Amino acid sequence: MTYASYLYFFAFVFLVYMIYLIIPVKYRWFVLLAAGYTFYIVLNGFLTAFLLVTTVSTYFCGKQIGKFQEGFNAKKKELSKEEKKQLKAVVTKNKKAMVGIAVLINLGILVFLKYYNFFAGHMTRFWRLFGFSGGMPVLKLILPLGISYYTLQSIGYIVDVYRGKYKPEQSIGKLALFLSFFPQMTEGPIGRYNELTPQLVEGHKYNNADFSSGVILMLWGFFKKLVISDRASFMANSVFNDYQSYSGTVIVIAVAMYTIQLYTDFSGCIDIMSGSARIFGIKLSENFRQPFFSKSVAEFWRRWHITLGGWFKDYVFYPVSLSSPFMKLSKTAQKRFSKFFASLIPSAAALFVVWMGTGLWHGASNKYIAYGLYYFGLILLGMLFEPIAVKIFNKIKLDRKGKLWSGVSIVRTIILVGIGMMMFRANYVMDFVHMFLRMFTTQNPADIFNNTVFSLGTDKHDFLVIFIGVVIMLIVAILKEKGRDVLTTAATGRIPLKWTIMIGLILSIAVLGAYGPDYGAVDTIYAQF
Amino acid sequence: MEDLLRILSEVKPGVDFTKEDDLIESGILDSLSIIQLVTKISDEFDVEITPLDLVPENFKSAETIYEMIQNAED
Amino acid sequence: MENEKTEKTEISENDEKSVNDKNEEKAESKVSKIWFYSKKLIRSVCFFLILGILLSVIGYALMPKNNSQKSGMRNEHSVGFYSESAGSIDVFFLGNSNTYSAFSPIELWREYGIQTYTSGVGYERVVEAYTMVKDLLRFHKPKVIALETDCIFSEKKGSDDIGEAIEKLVYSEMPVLKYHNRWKTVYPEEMFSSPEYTWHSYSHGQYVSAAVQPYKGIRLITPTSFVEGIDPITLFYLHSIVSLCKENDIELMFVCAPCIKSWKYQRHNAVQKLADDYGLDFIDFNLLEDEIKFNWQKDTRDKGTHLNVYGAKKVSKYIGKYLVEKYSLKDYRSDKDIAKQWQKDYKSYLKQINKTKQQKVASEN
Repeated sequence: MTYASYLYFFAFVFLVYMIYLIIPVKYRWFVLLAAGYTFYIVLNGFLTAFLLVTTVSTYFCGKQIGKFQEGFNAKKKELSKEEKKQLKAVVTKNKKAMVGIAVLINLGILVFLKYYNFFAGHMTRFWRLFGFSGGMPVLKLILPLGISYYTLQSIGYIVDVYRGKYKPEQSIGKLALFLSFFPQMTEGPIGRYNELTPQLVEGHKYNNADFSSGVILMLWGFFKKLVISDRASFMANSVFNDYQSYSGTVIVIAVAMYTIQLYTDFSGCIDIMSGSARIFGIKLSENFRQPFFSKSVAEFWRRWHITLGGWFKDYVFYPVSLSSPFMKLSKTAQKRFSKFFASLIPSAAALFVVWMGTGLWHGASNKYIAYGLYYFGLILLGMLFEPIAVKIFNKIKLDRKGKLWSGVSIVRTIILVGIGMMMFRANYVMDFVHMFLRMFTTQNPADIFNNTVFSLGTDKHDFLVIFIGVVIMLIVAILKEKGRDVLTTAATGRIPLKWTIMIGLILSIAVLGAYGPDYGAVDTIYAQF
Repeated sequence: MEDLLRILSEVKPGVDFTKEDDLIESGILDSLSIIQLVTKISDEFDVEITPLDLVPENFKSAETIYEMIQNAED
Repeated sequence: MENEKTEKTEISENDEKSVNDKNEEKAESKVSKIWFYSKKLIRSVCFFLILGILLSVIGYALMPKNNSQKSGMRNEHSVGFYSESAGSIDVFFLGNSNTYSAFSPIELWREYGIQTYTSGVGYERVVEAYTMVKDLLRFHKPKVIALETDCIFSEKKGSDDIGEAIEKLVYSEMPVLKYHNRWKTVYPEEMFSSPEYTWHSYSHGQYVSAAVQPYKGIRLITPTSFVEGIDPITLFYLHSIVSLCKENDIELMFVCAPCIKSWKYQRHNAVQKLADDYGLDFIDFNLLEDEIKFNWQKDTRDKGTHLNVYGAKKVSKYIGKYLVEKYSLKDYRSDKDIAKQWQKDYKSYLKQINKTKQQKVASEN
């Protein structure tokens, strides 16, 4: 991807918006649908077929579920209670079959494309262990863009229809739009049909506040991505790819850099996307809520990648916990164990499923499983020690909601999250283990003063920019935490303030952005004499 | 209602559930405690609570939880 | 929380608007609409004006104030002509790395006494050549510009062609973006000083290397009547170069240096057609290799990608003769001051040749 692609995206959004404004309000959603597919086809070519399969299968299964339900509703008044119950069982069975088909097709595509080679590799190794030769062939699979996001959207939709949360969508175009709205195609946020589709379909008139706040949000995202994230990436890359060469001190700084890189990259992209949707008067779900102010890792995950956590909560955690095997498990537990453990065991089991899923969702590799299990372990430990913690706090009379302990908890959470980030970025699980150990065995604070830290692709100037950028983000985050959304206020405020912020952001991106001939591959080619 | 309050204080001791009116926003109930709560409720009240009921609006206060149980009984 | 707030402000704005609408007479509504839109238009013009001014000011502050690599200039050899005495260069060779490897101003001086400059930039595109023409017109008024034609097809090399083309276009049009990273190195006192170009390229832009690494393969030239397509951005800027030269009474010609890696007969045909359309000369050295006794075993420094000084000498000798005969260029060898400088540069040139020869030997050991 060249940096010009950011320019394209800006141009694309404004071009689509122009067309959007020209078309009559009633048909404006067609523009969004066409834009989504244009975007997708340009980036993905024939892989668009996968998106079409998902759209069509989700549409028909949803519609069929609706028909079963309607059939039941029409008949149920004439039936006795007993007959009603019988019919309901049949209808539920049919509905379940439909959900099964839809989930099987869509999750099947995702699992096959994303995880086949990973599992095939493991299976082959497993077979060889027992002396069998051969094994499963490794296939060359390409993952269509955004498949991890739109698949979850489609499953959420079909399950909600099954649960009767809303009626199925009758227009395939509108469902296709829900699954292909272009700002969401690359990195989410994972939208919910009942929140998103009405906004997409209704057609919005030009609104000054929406337009300005959309543009400012996009610029803010570009600022995070180009000024902070890409700059921080240089050091993170050099250290993570060659950690043996660096002291624990450098590794700690690199982990901090990577944490900054990942957060600004991901939340920056989400801001760009939410901003572009906002221009059309569409509000995407919130995906980040100042995650680094969390007092526990559980809270962190409620504030980081919110739509993914929310999806897993609604479509994995709740149904798994409330399913009959888990209810039975909880009942047996109550008979055998103390009250405390009894309430813990079923939740722990359900949590395990959730975190395995979350880990694997990020990618098919051992390190992502380890990543998921790491958070599972942390949350489980938190639950186990909760009663002890309560006792200790009561004894030493420390206010858990007081400022001191809140501060300590925030720092503790950031450290734990940092370790998670390290696992996430390390090339292999074992690399993570070695790096983690190096942090304690090879500390060399002198590295900070003898320029080692500044020679890894991120020099003193870069550090200064990152530092200032992070401070600005921190101020914005603190204000937002207190209920003041600076960016939106600026967008709806008076022109001098609005323009200062817009022009300030554009100039910082233009001058301080890590793009152009000095960065990336172009530079080496340019060094000609 | 009294049964409910007893269950609530079992799940989250030390909270005055008669006064709190936004249990989710204030962070008293998270998804884990909701599951513990729901498991106990479905046990003691003998009702079936489905994932569809698990929306923030139903867990705002002891009142709303009670309403949800009554709806489920119907 | 956040959503509610923005919604409220939106509503209040809408309310204001609707109240305004009601207060106005219907007959006036059309006028007010025009007023509304023109206000918007004026506002956006103002916005971009302010932005443009600030970008240019910052661009000026960050622009290198001398033409050397040390003071932040990119590809210093391509802009060494900044410091040549005004109007002294009669011929410019423009293009990509093939250009700065194939045309030797020193040899042209020694052979014909003409003053030339080779301004090549690695992986150059036609849009950059166009900017270069504009740039060189600030300092010189050449009689001839020879555009090396490999750059016309350079969009075929990259993986993200259009992306790179647009990136280069943006950099060419907006120096603030090209030199933005100089915020790290710029001195406060040089920011708003006026530029002074003092750096001199002894080779007048040529990349001087005496290394010999033969091409391993067979040179095949298979004539065809196929014509390769040229993309619209490139065509647009080619046209711009043609017009710019016409406006300034400069003779433009196309020339293609010996090139074994990317040259194809269908590309020759494409350029020939273009030259015919515009009525320009086109010399293709790929079809003249026998005539100039070009040897792919001896005349390349990197296995056929670029020419070394020996190859450049053969090419320069031929093109020099052509230029002198066709455009009756002046022989400056009788001008003592000029000759002195060229003599000095020739010494540096020989030194560099010796150095690169030795390097070759050293690396072989």
